[in-house]
Amino acid sequence: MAADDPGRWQVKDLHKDLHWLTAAEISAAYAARRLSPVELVEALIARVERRNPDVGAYIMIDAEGALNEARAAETEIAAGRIRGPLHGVPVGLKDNIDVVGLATTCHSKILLDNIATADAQVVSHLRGAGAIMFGKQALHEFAFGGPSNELPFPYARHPWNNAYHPGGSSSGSGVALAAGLGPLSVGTDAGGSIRNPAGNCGIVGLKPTYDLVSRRGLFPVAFTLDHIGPMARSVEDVAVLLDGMVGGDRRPAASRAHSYTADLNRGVRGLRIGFVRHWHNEEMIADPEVGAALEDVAKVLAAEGASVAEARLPKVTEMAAVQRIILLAETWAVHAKWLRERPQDYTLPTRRKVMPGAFLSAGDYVRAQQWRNRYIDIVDDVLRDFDVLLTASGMDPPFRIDDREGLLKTYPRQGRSPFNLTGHPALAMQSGICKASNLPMSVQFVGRAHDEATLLRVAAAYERATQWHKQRPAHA
Amino acid sequence: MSKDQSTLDAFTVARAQGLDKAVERYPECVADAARAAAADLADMPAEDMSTAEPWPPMIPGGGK
Repeated sequence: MAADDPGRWQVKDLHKDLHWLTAAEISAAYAARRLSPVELVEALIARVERRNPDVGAYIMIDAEGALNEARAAETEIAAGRIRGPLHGVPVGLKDNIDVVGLATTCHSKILLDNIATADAQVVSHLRGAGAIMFGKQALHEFAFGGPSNELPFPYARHPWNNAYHPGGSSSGSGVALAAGLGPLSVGTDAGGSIRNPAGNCGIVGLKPTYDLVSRRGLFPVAFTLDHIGPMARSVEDVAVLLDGMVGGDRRPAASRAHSYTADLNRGVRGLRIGFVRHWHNEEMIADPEVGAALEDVAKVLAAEGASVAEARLPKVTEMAAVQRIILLAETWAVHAKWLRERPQDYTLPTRRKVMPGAFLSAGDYVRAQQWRNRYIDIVDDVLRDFDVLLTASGMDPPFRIDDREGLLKTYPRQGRSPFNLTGHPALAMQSGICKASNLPMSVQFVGRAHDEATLLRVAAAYERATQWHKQRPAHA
Repeated sequence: MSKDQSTLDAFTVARAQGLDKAVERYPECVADAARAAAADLADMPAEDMSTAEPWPPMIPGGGK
């Protein structure tokens, strides 16, 4: 390419903070020839090599594969063949999602040699959109366990303060974003596993409507609760990534031609927000700072023009118990053989969490599924009166990673798992900074089934008003 | 560990499920698991819904 060729890459001005660029900024920089995919991937590889030992976000990065994909993207973009906003953008994947030729370890000794023979469906969609598969991210063992020194790879740590727990089970996916080790992550969520690390790490995580994103090629936690979803540092990037993850045939017909980014700038004037206070004020009393931050969220949305009113759902404790019965029964079905033959190959947190399924009956499982049906109807009914619900995500700020009692509270004291049960889309994002730990706190927004567009619209309005997403770790 | 009746019952159920190795090597873990399952069942709503249709709905032709 000649030096005066208008297609020449003229990389400049972006060097200092390449790792903090959002996907939208990266795409714009590519289009303007101010940044090349190869330069970005090389910068991210160098940063991961430097920072990953402190935070444990990645189990592995596929440096060679990512650079090859970056070179191919660079050639296509230079020739004017831009596939869309994900073209040439690196994506990290939780290591329970298959990428052909790479091991899907689920962060477990049991699957260290489990080389994927095909891409997961979501990976195929992302490759089709031109995204670069950058690496496999740390998780709780089988997306179920927790931090443990018995794990075959280091567990992820909070990038703002690595003495703290980043949340899980998509822990590496959240940490990678918050530590500037990649612009986009794909996580999975059977009981809050995208939203917990999103909230703890101060990024944005969306559990889409059940089955909107194909689960083919995902190692299951629980078949009827598992969701694959996007995680990013901004609401816009979550929408961009969701566009690339969803196959056209899975969208409701009316929205097939639309991008999930389409409504992000419409604001919330005229929208009805249902504030589910009773979960954290009456049933699971939230940490005072978490509760105060939720009140502030409601005030911000009201100031932006939404009408905010009290909404009531079934008791969070009962919905969570029904979700756990289904989770445990289905997880037991996945793990029974290995638990019988090689229990020693699980870490203690995973053994302890998976084995209760052995003590449930077929009748227990069916009874839970009966309640689930009723809860889906109830949440649908409530969402006829409201466009989006505002609830607590976690009832507590992040715990220290060595606080065993605290970590045990993370999973029972939350409002996320009810929406794995009902399948409604739910998004968690930062609601403020906890004064005691100087770490992020979070809020959850819940939408109607297949109405991710309105959910993202509310989240984008809140993000614009508060700018919490611009907070970075002190030592970034 | 001391083995009260509920713990012994838990071991019986665990063995019936094929978890002999786990009972042998991780008895506390097995007992904890039985308690956790019982606690979750106790937190379920009490109302009887025994004839209600469960989720997911059966979809004829939905197989692959």
